[in-house]
Amino acid sequence: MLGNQVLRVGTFNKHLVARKHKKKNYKKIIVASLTLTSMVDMFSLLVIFLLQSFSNSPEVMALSKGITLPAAVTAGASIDAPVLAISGSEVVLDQKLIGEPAKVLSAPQPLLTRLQDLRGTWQAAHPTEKFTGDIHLQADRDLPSTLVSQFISILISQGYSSVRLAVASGSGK
Amino acid sequence: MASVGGQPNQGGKRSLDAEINLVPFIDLLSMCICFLLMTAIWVEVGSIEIRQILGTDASPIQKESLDLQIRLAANKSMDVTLEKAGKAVQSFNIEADGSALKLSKLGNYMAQLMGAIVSPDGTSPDLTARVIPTSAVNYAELVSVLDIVKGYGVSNLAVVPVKE
Repeated sequence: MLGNQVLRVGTFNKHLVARKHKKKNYKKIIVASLTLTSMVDMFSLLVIFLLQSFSNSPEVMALSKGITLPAAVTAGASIDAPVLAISGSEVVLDQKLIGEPAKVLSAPQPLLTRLQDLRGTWQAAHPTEKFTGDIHLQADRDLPSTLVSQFISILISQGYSSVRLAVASGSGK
Repeated sequence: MASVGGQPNQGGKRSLDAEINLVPFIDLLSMCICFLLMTAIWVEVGSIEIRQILGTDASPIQKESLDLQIRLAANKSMDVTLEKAGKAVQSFNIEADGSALKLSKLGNYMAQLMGAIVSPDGTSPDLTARVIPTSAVNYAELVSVLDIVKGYGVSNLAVVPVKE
């Protein structure tokens, strides 16, 4: 007994058979609806997130190949300055290959010449200003700190007194 | 096609329901997403400034200054010396944390030091930090030390060149 109806044996079977017959008589109509609201919501959220992380800083430092930067929390913004990149196998100054790190340190003349050229170019472009001595130093995080310190010493000897160590901003590694 | 409002047109009356064509709106959003994804900078590169005062034509320090020397040792310990007018006034050693530098202890020391040197009127003498590296310490660890020192307001940072 279910409510007022009495359930008999075979009632459900009869129902299934009747449904099957019914199905054969009519064409199956499929109506698929695409819920656009949730998709538009998702798109809007993506746009808002990407707009928030959008950086309009004019100076974007390109990372050289084979260099993983160390992370730092207190990093400041990058400026318009030449970039000296030191990886385990090569030293590159402003996109120009200078040589291997060990060889450059033992015979630094090509690096010194290039640094002087860059300084001359800067002074020609800014005849009324005093040379600021800004330069970026990108070095791989696994290099010995003494090797990097020797390159800093070379930079300072050429008048680049403001060496900016390039780091990955934030605490992530 | 999507529409605003849910009532169908009834009784031959002219419907007031407005239809918004969502296709151009979705197109616009898609283009925005593509543009922002292509121009996004996922790894933001910043810089820590090292101002090497010794041996350059930088202006000399006029105020009374304190020098903080952090010597990194091969066993990853740190010798910290505070100098005033070239004379050591405080010195101690920070032991290694296994095979790494004990940066938390350096942070604690910096917090104490900055608290001690600030006068009641809020002014503090110029503090210059000098880090002496060693080949056993890699560049990432050197940057971590500089980062901690800079985090406590020390803007004059120097790295002493060491040939090993």
